[in-house]
Amino acid sequence: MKILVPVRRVPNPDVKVRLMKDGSGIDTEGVNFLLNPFDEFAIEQAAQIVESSEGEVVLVSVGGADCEETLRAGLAVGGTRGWLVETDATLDSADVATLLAAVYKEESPDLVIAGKQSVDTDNNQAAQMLAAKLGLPQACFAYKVELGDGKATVEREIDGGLEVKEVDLPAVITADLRLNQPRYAALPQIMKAKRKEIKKSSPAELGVELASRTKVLGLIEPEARAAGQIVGSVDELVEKLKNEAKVL
Amino acid sequence: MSQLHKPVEEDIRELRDRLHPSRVLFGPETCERYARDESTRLYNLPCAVAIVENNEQVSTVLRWASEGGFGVVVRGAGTGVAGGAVPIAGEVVLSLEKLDRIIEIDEENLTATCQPGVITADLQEEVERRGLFYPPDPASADVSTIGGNVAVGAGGARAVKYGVTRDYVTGMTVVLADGEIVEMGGKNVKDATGYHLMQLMMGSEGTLGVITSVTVRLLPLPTRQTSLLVSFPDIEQAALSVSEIIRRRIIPAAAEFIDEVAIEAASKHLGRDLPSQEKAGAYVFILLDGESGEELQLQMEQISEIVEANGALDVLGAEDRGQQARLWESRKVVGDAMKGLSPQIGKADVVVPRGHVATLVKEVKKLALELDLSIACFGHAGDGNVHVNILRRTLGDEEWDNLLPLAFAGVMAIVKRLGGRPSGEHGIGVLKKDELVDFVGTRAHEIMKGVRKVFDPKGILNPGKVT
Ligand SMILES: Cc1cc2nc3c(=O)[nH]c(=O)nc-3n(C[C@H](O)[C@H](O)[C@H](O)COP(=O)(O)OP(=O)(O)OC[C@H]3O[C@@H](n4cnc5c(N)ncnc54)[C@H](O)[C@@H]3O)c2cc1C
Repeated sequence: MKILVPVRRVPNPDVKVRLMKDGSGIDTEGVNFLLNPFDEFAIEQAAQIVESSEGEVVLVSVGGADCEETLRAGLAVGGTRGWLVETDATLDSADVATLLAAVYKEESPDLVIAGKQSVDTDNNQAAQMLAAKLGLPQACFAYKVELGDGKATVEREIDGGLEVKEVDLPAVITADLRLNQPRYAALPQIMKAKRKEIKKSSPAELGVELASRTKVLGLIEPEARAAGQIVGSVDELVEKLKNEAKVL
Repeated sequence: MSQLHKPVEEDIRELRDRLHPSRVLFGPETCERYARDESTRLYNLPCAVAIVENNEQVSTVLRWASEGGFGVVVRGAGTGVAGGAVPIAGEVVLSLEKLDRIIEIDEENLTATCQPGVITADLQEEVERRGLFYPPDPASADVSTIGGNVAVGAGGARAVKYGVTRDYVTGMTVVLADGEIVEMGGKNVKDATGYHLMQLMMGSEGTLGVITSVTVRLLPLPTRQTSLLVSFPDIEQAALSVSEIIRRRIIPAAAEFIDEVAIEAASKHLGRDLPSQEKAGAYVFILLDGESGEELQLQMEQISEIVEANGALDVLGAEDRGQQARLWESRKVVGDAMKGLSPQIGKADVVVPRGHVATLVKEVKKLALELDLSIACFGHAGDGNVHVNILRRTLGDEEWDNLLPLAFAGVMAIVKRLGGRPSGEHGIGVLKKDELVDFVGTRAHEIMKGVRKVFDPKGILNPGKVT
């Protein structure tokens, strides 16, 4: 089985987000980047499937040259080979989906597993758009994935419970964080990952002309939360809830 | 110190008038969080809490205390583990939490100057955004304050290669007990101007003065880092491996370890199995940093050979920052995770010459067997600083009260024999006063008391702590 796993390089979510002075974007000066945490669950799932049957896990990343590092990180924990679609352009989810669809057509995998969203923009769109573009069934926010004969049974997380879905393969599945426990790389795996094949192509080479239809007009910081108050008595609390907060 | 008084209501009102009514808190609910630190064994409510917003207000509080002969306990974030920030006699707490501004990052002189209430991790992040590096990294960095770090002489994992807080401070502003403000040091790399009073402030734990600004020197930020997690059947092999790595002239940025009790605690805290947990009696965590990927890769391979020759079960690695954070997770949570195994813990933070770490842990484990107690060892294998946690678990009051002093004394005897010290980075506070005298000797202890008297003749600063 061949599984395609899109992986993304994101700014470290533990570093406080700061806006550019003109509000045009997020200031990433001096911020370190890492493999999108949700993608680790996707890679792990793909690796487990391939281990128990046979085949390969193809990691694909869209972005600048630095994404090679991110691909190598994924190759150390289960990826077989990588594909970097190299571009410095600002992309929206639809652009990413278009580029992934082009890679999909070249690779013809049996399954696509993606992280449910990237932790920087939290768009939660590219995988769904990819499924739509390719006319494939989709099962997002997977909690459990089981493969049958030409089908996948996916338990997916929904508000207040799980929904069980069966999809024909090929399909697009996105991984939620309870899907599995991503592995740690053994040292030899890291060394090996450095020598694994990474193919590079430009959007043009894939026959894609980028035409972003989304434009970010501006970013605004959320308002700071007002400080809490400590009240002296229950009466005072009730009074404040009534007259100040107006919730009673 | 006998002439100290307890402030009465009128005194507190006076303090409110001098400061500002909204800057002085009292009442049990409001003061609750100022009644403890992370020592887990001390608790006492302050009579009031003054939350100051500038140096003049610090002076105002201290002048008020000096005049009335009231004790004052300075507080940063309260993450100390020796009881230093706990108002053991119901003193007024002077909280510096609102003095939280980074005043300047000087990219020409490579220094940063900040107020004492700045959170350690915030300073680190701010300088890293400019490609600069403030190496001291206590495990509590997300919460602890720079002022607290300086006042205790905090260490951290990166001490192996980069040293501790003390090695980075070049200047500070101090408000003395009588309210006078004194500048010490500056931005200078060198300084041979008389006695270094600033050095006395480091480790003074709020007994000599209130530190109201700190200047630290910065380094260029290493651009690459790699982490390793090595599992071993037991802690002694883990310690020997770290010694061997250093003996072979590889100096990692950090070399930490945790034993089987700590692994159990971390696994319970995280709610999942940890790498090779069934077989592992210890983990070693190694952080390598530098400028070139090749250099780090070479070190990684050398370390891998060394640990395998010393009985390693597994060698895991990570280069991606997220994967590195995942690798380090069990080490990072250990301090908090211990509370999940045992709500009460006797904490020793001993340090021995780094070649003796293996002997130290071996003997502590022997002691644990003899006393039939659960004792965890974890911490900074690379610099000889080991956190020995004596766990109460489910012991009854009587058993615990009998065993804890025995265990402490046993650990301290081992440390003394190995030429170590009773505290590597947590300080003396209230809990380790006896050990201080025992290790430094009466003469040195007399000198310390004398120094304290010169700084604070009335003994209002953190009474009952340290000396
Ligand atoms: C989970 C955990 C992990 C930890 N890991 C480490 C570690 O790796 N390395 C390490 O060294 N420590 C560690 N510690 C201990 C603790 O975080 C440090 O001692 C830290 O420096 C305390 O800072 P604080 O701001 O919380 O100080 P507090 O606890 O508020 O105060 C500590 C002492 O300093 C005095 N003080 C505070 N601020 C000032 C000031 N501005 N002027 C004068 N006196 C002052 C107080 O009176 C008190 O005596 C850890 C603690 C926890 C809970």
